[in-house]
Amino acid sequence: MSIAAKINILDKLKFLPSVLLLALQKLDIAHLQEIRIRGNKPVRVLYQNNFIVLLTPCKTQKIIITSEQIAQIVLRAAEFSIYAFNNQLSCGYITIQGGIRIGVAGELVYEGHIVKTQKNFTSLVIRIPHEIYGCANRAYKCIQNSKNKNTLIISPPGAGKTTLLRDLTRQISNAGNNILLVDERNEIAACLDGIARLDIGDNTDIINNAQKDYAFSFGIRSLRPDYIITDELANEQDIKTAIYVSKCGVKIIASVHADSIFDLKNREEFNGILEQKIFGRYIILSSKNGAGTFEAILDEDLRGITI
Amino acid sequence: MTTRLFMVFLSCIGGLMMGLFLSNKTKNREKYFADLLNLVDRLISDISYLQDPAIKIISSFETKSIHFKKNIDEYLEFTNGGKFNFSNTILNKREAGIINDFFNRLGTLDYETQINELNSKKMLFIQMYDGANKKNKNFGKAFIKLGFLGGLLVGIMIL
Repeated sequence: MSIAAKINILDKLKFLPSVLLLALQKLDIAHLQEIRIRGNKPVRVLYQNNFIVLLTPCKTQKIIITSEQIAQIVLRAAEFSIYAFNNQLSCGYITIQGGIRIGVAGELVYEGHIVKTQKNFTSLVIRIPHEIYGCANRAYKCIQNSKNKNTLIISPPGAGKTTLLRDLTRQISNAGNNILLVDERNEIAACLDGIARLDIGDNTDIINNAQKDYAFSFGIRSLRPDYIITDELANEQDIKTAIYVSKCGVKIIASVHADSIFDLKNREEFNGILEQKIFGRYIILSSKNGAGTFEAILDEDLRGITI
Repeated sequence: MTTRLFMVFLSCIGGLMMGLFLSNKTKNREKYFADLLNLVDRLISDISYLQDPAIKIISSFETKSIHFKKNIDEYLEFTNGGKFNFSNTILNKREAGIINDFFNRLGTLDYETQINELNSKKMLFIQMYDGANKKNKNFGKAFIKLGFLGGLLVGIMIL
């Protein structure tokens, strides 16, 4: 990673307390994957696939962040505009510039049955996005070989599915296909002021911070995509929407959190997808040999295939 | 005699300067509150429509008042990691307290509460502006005349 790129990431993390920034400067940012901050506990980082406790720059003490500091971090990350991030905050995260996603845990505030916001934050998980060119070569080949069938990427959290989706989007887009990227959490493209800050190809239209059902139907009608690519099908509504897209003549590439195809089978909401064979290819990832490890590629009958 | 006339002249200048200072202060207060109101209007409209971050709105806001510009810079420095040192040379204690609170609470609330908060602060700022505007109209030029006359009076007394 170039010095400029390192500075760039550190610059995006400037909402963190200075003691933490100084400690991060000592690390090779290219290998930094996560920062875990818990109130009054030592800060840990996921670095080169291992968790390490972060020490002060003189390496004498563990860095401890208080709960007041966590509240300040959230406020600063939200650019002192909680109102602009409150919808995300009530869903447990905020995504800031550069596609950096901050998972937020705290006390939920309800209005009726709806989560209105969060307060008294207890911990933060800051995930650093990576651009790895070529990491989706195999997945891209799999899609090409399948004659452009719908593809579902199955992966546990932190196994590199967003990075893979990003590279896959770039490759399919640069091959001349019109892509509609539904970037619900603004993690894949990391749009800022209407410009994608991460490389997602030349032929990609992006709808971000939008719910999938709205973005899909709106996008199909007005943007005429060849492919719709989206991250994390999470609930019944998302799945219904994916089925709807598959019947509109648009190919869909999506991801889902699961350890294996068996996990997916055990989830009732996915029964429809599996029975109707909505997806022609299943790409299963793990972090066994580091993030982005290909475990298997399955066809619509869930039989393993080789690429 | 020349010395005494020179003293009268100096006294007049002193009075005039004092008048100009007071006149400028009332003018600056009017400008300050006018810009503050413009900013609040801008925040209300931009937050209501696009939910733009407050920092983005404030940093692109152009102000004619140097005092308000200073407070904006202090706020932006605070959001950039510093402390919020609200400096004040033209506001009274109550006004400074309200404006300090306005900056401190800005962006810490959810959408609806933020808009309500801005609207209620706007009502206070309108009162402040009206007060400053009235004072400027009534006393702005009078301060200069009174300052000069006061200086002249002191000079005559010296004579």
